[in-house]
Amino acid sequence: MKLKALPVVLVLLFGLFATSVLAVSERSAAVRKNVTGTGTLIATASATPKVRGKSNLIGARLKACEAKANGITKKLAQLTKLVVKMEGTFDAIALRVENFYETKVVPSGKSLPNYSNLVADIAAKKALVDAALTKAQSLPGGFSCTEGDPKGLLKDYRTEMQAVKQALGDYRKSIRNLIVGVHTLVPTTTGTGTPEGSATPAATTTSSATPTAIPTSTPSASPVASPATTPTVSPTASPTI
Amino acid sequence: MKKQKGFIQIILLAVIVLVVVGAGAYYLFTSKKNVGNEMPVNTGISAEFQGDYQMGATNAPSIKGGADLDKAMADLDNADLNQIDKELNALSADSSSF
Repeated sequence: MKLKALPVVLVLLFGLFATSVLAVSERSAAVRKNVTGTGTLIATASATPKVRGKSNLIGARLKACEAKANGITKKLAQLTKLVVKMEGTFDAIALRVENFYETKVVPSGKSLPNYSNLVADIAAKKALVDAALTKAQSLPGGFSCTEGDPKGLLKDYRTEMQAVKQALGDYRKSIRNLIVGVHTLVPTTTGTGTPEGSATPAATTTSSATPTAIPTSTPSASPVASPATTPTVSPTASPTI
Repeated sequence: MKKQKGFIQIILLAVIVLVVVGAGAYYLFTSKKNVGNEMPVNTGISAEFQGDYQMGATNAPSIKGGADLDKAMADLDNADLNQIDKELNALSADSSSF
């Protein structure tokens, strides 16, 4: 009985292996089919050099690419470092300003009416930065001159990095808006510590903050009125105590 | 013999109380010290660049008062986003020959 069952089990095992091998070869065939009219392979965004196929560079162009490959790889890493570092600084500032507001400003009896809008805007802009950066990071996938379309890849990378730059700029604006808002409640003092002083900080505030667009649905509640407003506290932003 | 046992128990209790009080004091001290210096976490950044992310966060000013808000604003403004374009232009120059 046991001896009869053995061939059946073996056949079943063979079938299992055969189907998985076929699935893999179909996938690689699909990658190979991704050929343009000129016979080059398109380097997909997430493709690592191994699945990009043979390079579209030949002869002198391939040699020129190989001569610059090390420098390009270094620059790609350097650029990512630069952007990640900037994001780290922006994230830390946003986090610390939010914590400062929640642990020092609010307990002192002051609050921003549009605080939740400002924080939501920061979160939305940060999500855009993260998304753009993830996309840009996935592009190089290990730069190589011998696989895919190296020049096209760098072009795509440039486009993605410019999107990251735009997103970082918007993120910075959102954080600035929060700082300007919080600053209307906390005048600049020589020392540090909990926000003190009168409930109307206009007389003592010496904020150097320049206003930018405020993302709020209640314009009257925005801490800063318009770009023409002086960096000091605007009348509409008097703290609610 | 019984008296000795009781004495040891008192010593043990005192040590435990001391450790608990010490740990509490240390926690309070460090948490107070970290206010305004909180470090962000971003798991979306790959492990290769986590160090750079943390470095950027460390460079940010601590926020403990109004003057620090000014400093934070200045730091934000000083972040040179155009540096990204410079690096991209250098990359384009490299790739122009192939």
